[in-house]
Amino acid sequence: MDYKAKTESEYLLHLIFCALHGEEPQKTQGVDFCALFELAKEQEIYSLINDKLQSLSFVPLEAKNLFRNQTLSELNRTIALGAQRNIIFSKLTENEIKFMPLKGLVLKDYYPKESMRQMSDNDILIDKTKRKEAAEIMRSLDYRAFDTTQNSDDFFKKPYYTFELHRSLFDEESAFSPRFDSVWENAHQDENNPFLHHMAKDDVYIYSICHMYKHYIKACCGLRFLVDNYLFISKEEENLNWDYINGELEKNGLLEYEQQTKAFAKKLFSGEILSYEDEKLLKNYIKYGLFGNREGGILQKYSVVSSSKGSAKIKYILKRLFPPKSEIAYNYPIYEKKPYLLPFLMIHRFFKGIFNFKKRSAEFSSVKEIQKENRG
Amino acid sequence: MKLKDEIVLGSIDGKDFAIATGELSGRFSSLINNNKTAAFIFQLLKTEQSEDSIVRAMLEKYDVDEATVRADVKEVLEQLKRLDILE
Repeated sequence: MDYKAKTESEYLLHLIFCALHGEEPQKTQGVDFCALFELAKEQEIYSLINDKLQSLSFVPLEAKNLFRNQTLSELNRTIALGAQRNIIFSKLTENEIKFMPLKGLVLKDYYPKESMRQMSDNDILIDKTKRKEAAEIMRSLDYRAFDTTQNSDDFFKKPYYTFELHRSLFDEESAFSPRFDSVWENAHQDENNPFLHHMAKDDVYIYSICHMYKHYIKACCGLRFLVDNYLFISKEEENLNWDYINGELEKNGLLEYEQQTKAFAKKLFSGEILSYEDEKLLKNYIKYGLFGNREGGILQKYSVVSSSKGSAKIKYILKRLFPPKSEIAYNYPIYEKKPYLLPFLMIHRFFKGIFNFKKRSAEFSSVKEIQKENRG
Repeated sequence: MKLKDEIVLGSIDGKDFAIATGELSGRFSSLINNNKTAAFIFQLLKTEQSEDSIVRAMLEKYDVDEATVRADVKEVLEQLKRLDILE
């Protein structure tokens, strides 16, 4: 690793390894534990390593307090969110609306302790024919819809309760939209509640890979996705129907991505020595935060254009000046309905770019940096 | 008496907790980690209770003599009053 906070990143990985395997961390020197805290915060992984970190006598009190306070506050939030979730589940049940917990709500059970898996919100798949009724329930509980996308309605209540009610697992109109047509059929009904459904394990895995890939291609993604993958595979690998999983992944062009991700997560968290290439890959998981950021997005766009012939930098600039239709539609939803507005949208985009000169300048600095790293 | 509405009960990692939310969270920010008996009393206090009704419910659930139960209930209720989370 050759980037900022390299020492802290290495020790963060060591602490994750110890937390996952119940081992005692080794002593270290030269680690800035406040910087390590910032890193753990970016990756939303401090609750995972807090216990291990608190047990270390050489960690400064200031850093221990940062971890302790943040973890306590997370625990508080998790309990409050859980209580709200129970109320929502009861209301969905009373109103005979089928629902299925998603993402972290399923994956938390694979962690050594449930509280180790942080969640910024709760995702629930609901029967899409009952969208209005579900929204009515949320409003009756004082939630307000703050975002409505093609596949979900997102609700918020102060101070921090966020629930995303999905009608489908992916936006069917977006460029990357794997299909999960049999998710309800494959799921099994809860023993005590006929409206609560549990996603089939094969689908949990396919969905988590697709979800990870969605973030990865957009702006990169962080370590927690790899921890989720490692823990799920460690427990379920032999129970999964790999013919079905591989078939579905192949349909979506994700077979190779899944194999690489799984192998990398296994290498990383089973304590194997990383190769130079592994370290380069790891850097991308650490550098851009849990859900990626603007720089991660630049890296991904640059990677796409540099995989074809010709100067990557020129191709990148051309692509930024003349983006594909899917990107225009994403940034300007009106384009879908009124494609004849394209010239005006391009002019708007051009002037927006000029007025955001600082951002553009930072973007080209990032491209230069990526070029430099690629040469190295 | 009952717990104020802003007190939320929950369990995680096999442990029972009570936390303050809303306006209460400003002056009472820590988690209360309840043992099984305290968690049972907290659960009862989600609805209106008297000291006697709690003692009766405890005697039905646990095989302990009334004097011990009453002393335990008194102690928990005193703590809750001190925290000002009962109404």
